[in-house]
Amino acid sequence: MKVGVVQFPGTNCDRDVFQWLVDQGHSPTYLWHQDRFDRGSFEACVIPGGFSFGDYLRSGALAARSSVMKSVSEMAKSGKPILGICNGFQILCEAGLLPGVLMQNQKGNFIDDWADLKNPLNNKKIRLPVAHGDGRYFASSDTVKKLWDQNQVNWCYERADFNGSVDEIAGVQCLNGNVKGLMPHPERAYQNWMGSTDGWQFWI
Amino acid sequence: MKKYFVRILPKDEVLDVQGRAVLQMLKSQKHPVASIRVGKLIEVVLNENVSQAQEVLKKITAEGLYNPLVEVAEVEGL
Repeated sequence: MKVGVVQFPGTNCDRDVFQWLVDQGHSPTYLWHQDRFDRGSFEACVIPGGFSFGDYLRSGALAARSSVMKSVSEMAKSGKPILGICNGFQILCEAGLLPGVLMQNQKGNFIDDWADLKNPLNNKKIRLPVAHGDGRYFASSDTVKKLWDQNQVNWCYERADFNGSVDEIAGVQCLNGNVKGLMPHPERAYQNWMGSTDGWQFWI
Repeated sequence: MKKYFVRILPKDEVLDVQGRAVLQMLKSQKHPVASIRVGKLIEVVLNENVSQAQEVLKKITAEGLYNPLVEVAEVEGL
């Protein structure tokens, strides 16, 4: 599969994501934040983690308004799979492609740890690393109710009060299911020596 | 040329982690403070006349200076 990997100044998980895709047999290509591309050029797109534009203004706020995101948005509307990991999730929320927003963790700390996760749609349980300071998922109570009613919550932290996210939400998807975002890092856990293989073929 | 300020604060119903930390620190020093909210102040310099400036400020604020889900924004200087 031809997959675009978006890079912003401050992205730092791009090479991990690239290798993760290569090892799964895909053909990734880097996309720079100033690029525009034809939505037909790629079959899928990943927005990796990091600290795009130094988290200035708000995490993901500046990246969400960059040129490349206009093309990503067109791709999303055409139904192609888009995955946002960590800062990528924050960017997708800021760009309005996913509902809600990621705010500073409840205790104000940067969480660098493993997280046990559960997919409420199929009760699948996995374990992935997390590394974030702004991972507290927030949305209005109406929106959260809608997310549950429409089966858009796809990952929850198993531990209560992990980072203060509403309903322990770690990942959500759009109504059609093709745009997904999550705070944990599947690309950091897909080989035995990484401590978990749960990130293998995570999203397709 | 005139200076304007966009004042951004977290909504009252949203947990303000920074504000809470600052409040706790001040309280630990026995200052009589009831509440602290930490926000942002953005300085914008414009050449336009006031009505044009109002338009520009409204637009740039709505297009991303604040996130209406969790913040409130107010323009000062108009």
